[in-house]
Amino acid sequence: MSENNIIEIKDLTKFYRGNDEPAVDHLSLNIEAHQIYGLLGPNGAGKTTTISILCGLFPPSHGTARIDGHSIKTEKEKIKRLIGVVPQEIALYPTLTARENLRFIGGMYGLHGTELRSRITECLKLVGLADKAGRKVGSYSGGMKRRINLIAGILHKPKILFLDEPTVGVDVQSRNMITEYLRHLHAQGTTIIYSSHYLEEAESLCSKVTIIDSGKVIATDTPSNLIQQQASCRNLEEVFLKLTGKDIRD
Amino acid sequence: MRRFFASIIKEMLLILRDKAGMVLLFLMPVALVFIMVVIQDAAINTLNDNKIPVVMVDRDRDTLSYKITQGIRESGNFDIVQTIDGDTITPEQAQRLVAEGKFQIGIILPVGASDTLRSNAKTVVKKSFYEIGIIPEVPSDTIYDSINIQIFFDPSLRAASKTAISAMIAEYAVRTEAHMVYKTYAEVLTMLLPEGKEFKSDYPEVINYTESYATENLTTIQPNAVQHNIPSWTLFAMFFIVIPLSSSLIKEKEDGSYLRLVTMPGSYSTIFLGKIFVYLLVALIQFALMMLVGFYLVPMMGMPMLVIGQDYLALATLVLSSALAAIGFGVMIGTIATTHQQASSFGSIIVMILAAIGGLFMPSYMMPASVRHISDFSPMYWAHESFQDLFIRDAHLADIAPRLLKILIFAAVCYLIAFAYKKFRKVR
Repeated sequence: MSENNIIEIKDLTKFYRGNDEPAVDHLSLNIEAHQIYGLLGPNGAGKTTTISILCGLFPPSHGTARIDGHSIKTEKEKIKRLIGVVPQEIALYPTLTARENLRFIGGMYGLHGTELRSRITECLKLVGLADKAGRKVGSYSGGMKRRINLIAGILHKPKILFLDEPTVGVDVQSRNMITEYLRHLHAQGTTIIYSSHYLEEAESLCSKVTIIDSGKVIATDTPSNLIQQQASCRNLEEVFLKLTGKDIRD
Repeated sequence: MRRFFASIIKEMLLILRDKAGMVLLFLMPVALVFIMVVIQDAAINTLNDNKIPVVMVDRDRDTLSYKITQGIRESGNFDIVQTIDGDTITPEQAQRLVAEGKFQIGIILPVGASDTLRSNAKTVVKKSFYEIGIIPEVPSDTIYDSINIQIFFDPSLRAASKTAISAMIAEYAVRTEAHMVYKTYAEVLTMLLPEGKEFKSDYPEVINYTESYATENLTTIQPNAVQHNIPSWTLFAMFFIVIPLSSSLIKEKEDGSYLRLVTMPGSYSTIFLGKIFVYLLVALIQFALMMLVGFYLVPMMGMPMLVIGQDYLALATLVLSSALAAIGFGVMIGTIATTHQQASSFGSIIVMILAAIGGLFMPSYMMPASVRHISDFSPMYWAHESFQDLFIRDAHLADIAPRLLKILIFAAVCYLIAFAYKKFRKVR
């Protein structure tokens, strides 16, 4: 494994049961440490599948990957301690308060006592929800839920953070707060793998992006390089549409 | 260990915040058991304690009818009426009264029934004495006259009561006849003895009946509505954990919480065991609430208090095993079902079926033979019969061990199916 690469993916392939076409098709990718790395693609491209495999949700059909030098096949426990996950769904218990949700999640990561309480308070302050932490998550607005969802993934200060559509359905102010917070995390040394359909966001946040389609890598480079390489494109969205086509994906 | 406790706290909070779930788990079973005990107690009392009304037309007015009437009265199960407004009831009236449903049984004892018995007794004696040569002439009257006792039944009368009354009448008729024969023999033999000597006609009762329960414990615990229903609805409530438990598992899959849980360090089993532990507590609380109903609430309504036998270790083992089986069932349904609708409808229907064939709604001995055969496939049957063994039949742990083993195997199979299904879905 190269010294700078925190994630190395080699020939990753995944077939879902009943499907002849792979969701991820011999995907190979290297992600350097301390980057905000964008994983972009149309619907069904294989982004969520790739992230799910890296997070240990299910094994690949073929291929392998290493996260911070640990194999996803044989060293899952070590990887789980290094990573944080912010899934697309609001993976919180709506009948529990924000504080209760965070207390449970922190407890699962081995945090307890004063350390857990102060970490929860610190994170809530950072996303502007310290005074609303006693309310049930089910009563929150979409933006508030996304913010709690985010800090649930970083409570244990992970080395690598996977985010799957972290700002979908969120108001502009909340989206701005989330992206600012991600920059703050990046500045503190966290490697961020960012998957989103909001290409404007990806263009402003990510130091490097990979565009995948039908489970394969289509392009990998910095956003500015990708734009330069496509003469007629003015921004990442136009590059994306040029490379993946304008047809609607189901 | 911290993860286990964190999971327990989370699960407890989820249950406490689910008001509808709390009603389903705790209030509904208490209300259900109380209502069912009251209803069934009233029904059983109607069957057992209320005397069956009998209209009797006594046209014999002699030994036979007196014996029959006395015997039926002394049984304590029948209420005999022979007059209405001071007037003696006629046979036609009796038949009409039973047809109209005012009485459930009508008995008409014919004129001269006792005389006919005496005549028959004399004929028996004469014939026997002729055959052994004591009297030289062939008796002229060798024909036995018959007695026709009419019995009318209301169609709604239970078969057991019909049999009881018919058997009673037959028994007293045979006894009376035997007494008469014996008395006639005694009279004739006295005539053959020297003057001043008498043949004693005592007819001692030589067959005695002692009734008791087959258990070693001599305290007579009656199987009643309380003894049947408290364990029935306790088990029903425990197995209805399938709804909130399966819903909890499906919700975690639906809202993404499950995804977060499996990406956390440590085995998902620790989190899962925390969930099982909390639902085990729920089942134990349900059991405790039902016991409180049986010990305190039910006696306040004038019904007998629940009696739970002497072997508390056996009872604790049975309760724990039943709870584990119920939770295992809930886990299996929650794992296989993909929607709340599937889990709640499928789960609740299976619970109802298992409860019905398991003898929870109606004692298994009252069920048709064809249903009784399939009772033994229901884990609720195994558990309920074990409760009855402990409560009524003075059983101990060793006596209920075979059924306990079945219950635990059922639990294990449910967990295994859930585990295998989860693994099978992940693989490829």
